[in-house]
Amino acid sequence: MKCSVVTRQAARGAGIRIAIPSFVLWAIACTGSSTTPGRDNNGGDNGGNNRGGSTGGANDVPRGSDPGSVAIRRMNATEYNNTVADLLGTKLKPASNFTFEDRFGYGFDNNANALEVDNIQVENYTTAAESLAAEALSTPTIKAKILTCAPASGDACVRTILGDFMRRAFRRPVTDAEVGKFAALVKVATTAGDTAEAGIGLALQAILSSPNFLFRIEYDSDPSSTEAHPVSSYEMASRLSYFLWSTMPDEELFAAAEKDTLQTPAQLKAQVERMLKHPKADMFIDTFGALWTPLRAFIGHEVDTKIFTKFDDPLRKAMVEETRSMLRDVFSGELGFNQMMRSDYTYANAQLATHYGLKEKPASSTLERISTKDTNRAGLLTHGSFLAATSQPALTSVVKRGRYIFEKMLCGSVGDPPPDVDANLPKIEGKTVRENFEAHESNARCAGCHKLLDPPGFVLEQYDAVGQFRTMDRDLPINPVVQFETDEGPVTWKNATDLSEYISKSTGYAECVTAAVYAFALGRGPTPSEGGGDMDEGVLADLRNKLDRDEWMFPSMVDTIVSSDPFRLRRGFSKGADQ
Amino acid sequence: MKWRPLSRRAFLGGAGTILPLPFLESLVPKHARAATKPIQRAVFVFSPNGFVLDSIFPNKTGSDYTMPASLASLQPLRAKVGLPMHVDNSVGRFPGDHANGTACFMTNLRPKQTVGNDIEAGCPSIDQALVQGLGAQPTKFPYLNVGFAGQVGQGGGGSGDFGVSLAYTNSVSWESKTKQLPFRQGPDKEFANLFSGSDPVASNTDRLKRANYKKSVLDVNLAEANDLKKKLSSADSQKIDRFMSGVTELEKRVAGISAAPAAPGSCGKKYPAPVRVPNTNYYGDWQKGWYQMIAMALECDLTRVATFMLGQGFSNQSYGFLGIGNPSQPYSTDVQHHIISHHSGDSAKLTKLRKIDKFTFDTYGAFLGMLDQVDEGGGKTLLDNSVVYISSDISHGDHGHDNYPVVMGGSAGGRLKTGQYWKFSNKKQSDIFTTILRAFDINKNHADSTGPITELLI
Repeated sequence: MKCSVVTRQAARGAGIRIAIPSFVLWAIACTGSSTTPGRDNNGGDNGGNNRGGSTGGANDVPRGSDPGSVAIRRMNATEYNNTVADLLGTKLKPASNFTFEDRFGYGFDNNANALEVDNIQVENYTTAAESLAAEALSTPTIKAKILTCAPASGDACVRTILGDFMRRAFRRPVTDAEVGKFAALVKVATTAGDTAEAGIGLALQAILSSPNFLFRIEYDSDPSSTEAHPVSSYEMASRLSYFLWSTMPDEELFAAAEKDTLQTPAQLKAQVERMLKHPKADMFIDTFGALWTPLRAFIGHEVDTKIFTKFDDPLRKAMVEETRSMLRDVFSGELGFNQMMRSDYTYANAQLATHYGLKEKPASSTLERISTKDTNRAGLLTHGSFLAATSQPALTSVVKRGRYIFEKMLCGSVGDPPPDVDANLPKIEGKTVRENFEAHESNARCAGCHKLLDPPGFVLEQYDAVGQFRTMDRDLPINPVVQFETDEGPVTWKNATDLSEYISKSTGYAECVTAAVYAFALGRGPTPSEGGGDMDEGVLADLRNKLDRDEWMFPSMVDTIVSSDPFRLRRGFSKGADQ
Repeated sequence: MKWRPLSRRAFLGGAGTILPLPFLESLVPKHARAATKPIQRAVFVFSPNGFVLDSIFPNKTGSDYTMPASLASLQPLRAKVGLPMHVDNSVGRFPGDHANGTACFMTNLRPKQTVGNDIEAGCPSIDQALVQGLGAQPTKFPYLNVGFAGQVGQGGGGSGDFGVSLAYTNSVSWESKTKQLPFRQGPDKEFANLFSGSDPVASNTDRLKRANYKKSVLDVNLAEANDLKKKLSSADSQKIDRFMSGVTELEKRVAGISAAPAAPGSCGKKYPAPVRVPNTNYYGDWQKGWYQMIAMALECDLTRVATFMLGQGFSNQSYGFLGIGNPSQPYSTDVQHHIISHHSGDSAKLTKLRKIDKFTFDTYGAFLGMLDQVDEGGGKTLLDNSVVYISSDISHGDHGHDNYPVVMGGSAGGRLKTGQYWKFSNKKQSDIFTTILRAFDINKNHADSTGPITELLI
């Protein structure tokens, strides 16, 4: 195995802000033997966005006719918890106790191909169904909503109760025959001497362990046809609600689906506008946002509190809220993705502002928006959540920080160190971390990757493992200045602001952000068809073009995505290439 | 994180608020005590990345050997432990040592060499061969697969592990050539799953009624799945097939519950439910937590066949908690198992690896000790009635597929010889598995084995 880095873009056509950004040069320099992605070893997509070829401006991109196909999707843990909460009004979060982890594809846990199904998952789902059904009948508020008539009064009532519940659980109209299958369970209970109400409990249990509930299924009139055709309005309601809210459609979406008014771009745009303003849109922060940034990792990240004695739970919470608040600004359209990287404000409370050493300090424990002009804070990369999550518990990690930026912000892909190379380099006393790290580059087998990964980490050495600014590492001064040669001449980063500014303007970042939102929206990675027949390239080019025009605004990206053909259309599965 | 003992009742009380478990509490009866013929159990432990051979092979054959350094904690139980060493499993060879080695750990035939999703083992794994050979058992679980996922290395030499799918490293257990079985993760969460389901005060009628209800629900789900399959593409149908396979397994389990008499049990009380506490030592505590759960499941006769993956094949599990690296960097690459397992004779790496091996056999030894504390009557302990096999995907870190160390605790109810070290020169791991099949009175040869190793049989 070789140390290897592969990124999808070799070079870009004209018409883009920076013709040949130096991150791209980095990637070329580290292209090695392995394109193996991260942890997606259970089939499905690969973790990076390793795509061949070049994509220039929107005009020179081939426009295919293939909208791609999405496999049936099992709800992931977040979607499951949200969906049962909306469906039943329960406060239980059964998925939090599931004994399996959802796998990731393209960096997210909503990837259709990565969401496998196995025996242990089925066991977990059926156990949860039993618990939820038991709770529904023993909790007056939940029971009252479901039992709209007296089940003992007869089959008509039973069918009304179950039909209404199934329509919402299956996210589509249900047939009489389908309702009949579940109504039969009420008879099973009454035959055994139990009440009709107990029988409803049994039917609820079966609905909640049904494949029609656990999977988001899009019915094709012809599942093996490769002709592109629109998904139904009910299916579109689910596409929208699981994309933006990670849960089932609400009553408005259901009503629109019933009227079949979720088809034209104008209709979809109106829904998106409503949905992004809805409180449920906050969920996007904790799904897409928390995986695109290292927020989810930070929540469980271990900090050595023997060294960082002031790091406590309130500080951790403040850091989480800082990043969440900033992401909220991005997703509500107040702040562009590029501006987020170099913003001149942040959110802090008294404790966090003190921790950061900021002059402007809120008085209380409530987070406030404060200016970071002329400070050492410059957007996401200087958030405590980012800096800590990419550190070891007690020490910063040049490699973890560099790797996160390279892989998640720029969509490059890096392999493990070669197994037969000693990664435990002897620590040279009296030398800084950077000087010690530069020893990696003295070994030719390590240099290929490390000279690309380490520089952002060197810049961020000015922030310790819990995100405090520093100029000294113990008694040694930190040198954060990094220089690169690019086709446009030398680039110098003197500090995190320079680094953040650079990334925010780089083509790699624009491509990576758009590809990430796109992959999350569709639940699949971009699927280059052989012969270039797919539509993804065109949509991605539209998205990048849009970034130029409207300051990288998320709501505008969402409009482009949901009105695009890949989001509105589907085809069958007979093309095996993208399975 | 750490698995901290807590009383089982306290745990269940806490969990009840999150996940109501209607029929919680007590467990299946002790068939073992009543039975005249002992109930045999088998446990297979997969320990990734090989071992340091000079600290695991004894100095002389027979019963008079000096306990090797890595196995020191087995000394008190040496009479009950067999060391059938130097066996071959070269079907797992290069290219793709870890992917093939993991696939072959219990299947012992070379798997399909593919990097795609069409992975295929050579045959069912030995644990499943036992499950199938034993037929229906009155236990809640026909088998129990547990383990620790993640922390996998990235392979090399192109895609996967030198062109062999890394999906092979996901599990060592195969029900059939094409069905790789998952394993349960998280002993804290699984505690409730494993030890719930039978109600000690329920009447027989009630119990059968509940079983019938469960079956009726599962039947509806199966019928739905069948309908769905007719409407979906073949790729989507495969997902529904896997769903159906899960439902079918649950149906079998319901049938098992119906057959089991309802009686209150007192087993398992000494092993507390594990609780997660943030801590760098969490992996070590986690390993012990799972061993406790397996011991409890065996003692309570919830299952008779278990598989435990200490890590996936290729595991880069950090062993910083053993104090073998820089204490302030407990997750750095210099304590990651696969990375350091490629030692090339480097003494610093070998020292670390010996400590990892020592830890592996310390927890394994403690597990044997737990089993030996359980009296099953007739002068036999649960350990006596079990066989607990442990080995690896490769024999040593630099990729050997011959000369494997194997440790087997217990005699499977007095059927296997213990207390000795055997230095085999022409035996395969599959021969050991055939020997185990014979000990369980299953007259089949496993994989490419031509027969049992008679020296190991009583």
